[in-house]
Amino acid sequence: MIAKTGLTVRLGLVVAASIVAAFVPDLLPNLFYVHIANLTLLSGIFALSLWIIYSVGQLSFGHAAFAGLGAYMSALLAMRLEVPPAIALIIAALATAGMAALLGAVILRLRGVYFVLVTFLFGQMFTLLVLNWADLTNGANGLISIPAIVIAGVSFGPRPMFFYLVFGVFLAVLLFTWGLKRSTFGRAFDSIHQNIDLAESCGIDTARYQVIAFAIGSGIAGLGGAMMAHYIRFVSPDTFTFHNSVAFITMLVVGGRSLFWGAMIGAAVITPLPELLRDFEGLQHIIYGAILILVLRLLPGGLVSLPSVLRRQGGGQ
Amino acid sequence: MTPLLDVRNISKRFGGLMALSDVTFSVGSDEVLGLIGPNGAGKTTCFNVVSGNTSPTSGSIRFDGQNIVGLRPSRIVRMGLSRTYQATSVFPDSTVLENVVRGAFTRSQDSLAGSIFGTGASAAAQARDRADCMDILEQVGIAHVHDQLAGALPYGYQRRLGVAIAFASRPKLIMMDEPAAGLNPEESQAMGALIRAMHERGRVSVLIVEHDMRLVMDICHRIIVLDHGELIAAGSPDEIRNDPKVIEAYLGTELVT
Repeated sequence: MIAKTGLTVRLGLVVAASIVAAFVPDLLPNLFYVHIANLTLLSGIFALSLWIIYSVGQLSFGHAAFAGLGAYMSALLAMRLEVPPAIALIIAALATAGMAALLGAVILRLRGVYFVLVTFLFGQMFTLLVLNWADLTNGANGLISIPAIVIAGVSFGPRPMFFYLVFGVFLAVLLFTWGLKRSTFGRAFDSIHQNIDLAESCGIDTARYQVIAFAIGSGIAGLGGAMMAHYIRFVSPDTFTFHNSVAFITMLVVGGRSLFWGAMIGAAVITPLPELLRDFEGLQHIIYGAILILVLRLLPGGLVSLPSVLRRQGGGQ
Repeated sequence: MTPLLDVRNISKRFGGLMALSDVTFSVGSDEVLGLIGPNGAGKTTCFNVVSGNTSPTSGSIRFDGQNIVGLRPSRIVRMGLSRTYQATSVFPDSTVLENVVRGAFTRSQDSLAGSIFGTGASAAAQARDRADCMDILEQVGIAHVHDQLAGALPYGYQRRLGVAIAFASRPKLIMMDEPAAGLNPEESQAMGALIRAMHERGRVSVLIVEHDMRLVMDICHRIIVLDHGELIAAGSPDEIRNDPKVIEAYLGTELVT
């Protein structure tokens, strides 16, 4: 039973995963694969943080905008004010969470498709703002030569080095999400997800908890965006668009929404896809859409539900 | 002594419709008060106004000596006023026991940090919550299905679970919106016995909306009657039964036309 899994078991899993990860950059045939692994872990951070918002029953179509917000803030702090990137990205994450809390306090009273529409609009506004506030953001040209993350004299600019960093952060986010799900907050979140009126009648302040979940999820997205900016060393209005928000949602659906690690699996499946589909440039979004529809039709629980579906099918024969 | 719940002159207007006009009543501590009236009389609106789901257009509501108009429903629950819903309302994808534990959410001594890291203190607090909630399930008579998913329960059990969830916050006053709706006569009688038992054991006051007259007459100390948003009678079950205005509201004019 997961609820009874003690601290030791979790620590064991973390150690095992870390040992495996330590060898990954050396085992991969070339740097391109390391790059894909890095992007996949970043996607994992985005998808997990989106799951936190989903766990209170809200679907954000502006998740990429919060990632972009974190990316621009951290990059600008590092470039204009010469804040060390490692500190800049933490400030950016907290600021993103703060902005999400302010926005969430206003828009989280909307439910279902109305919330989706407003988050979509927020994403569009973010793109327009970044495009037009050229004095600050350099407009459509974007920000170039963003400094790499340096911690205690060690640069995490090179791809294998960044892998270790992003793996550590991903693991921290994963463990945090796991803990959050099991916590009193997780119980409140899931109560809201299942039956918001009854949750309120249980004395759970649903408005407050929804804002908390939205702020935490968006803040982590901001952190992921900031890390990405310091890794790619470049950010433009095209880096985080509506299409990225859709991709994050696709990861959640394909992986499976009911369990937080479904997001992880979705990220691992969807992120390398554009590289495999290089030959079908332009068809990518159509393929995303087709995958989304197929999964919803054939496997509504996502890939994490595959074992139980197969078991049921096997038992029926 | 001031009453536990004191509702004074509340009105609620939906556009041109006066759903409630100038309604005044009170519930004492340790009292079971029935609220009856024909369909569309404003009973559920009255409930929603008191529980904070909607705010009254005018009037005052005091609970336990404090004004509760304008407070969020969760805040009112934490003050000790909980409610059940007319339709079945459970957390369908959670176990029966987990449902009740959620009802006891605000009483739990589990902490955020403790539960994130899975400390011993947190585990102990959760074990206490579960034991406490199992007691409540025993009281409502569905302890034997505690590990089933709430959504898969038969209807009668879901209704009982709804009562258990509302009771788990240890309220001073519990408002029940048609607890016997959809139940057959035997189940309905059992629900009446359950409400009375919970009232007597938990020293909890009850405000109950119900159409099953036998149930209401059986368990209520006092009854108030709403018709077209107005309070038309108040008194003991016997007084209400023989009140000509009540009889007219239920049987009168509609039959003539």
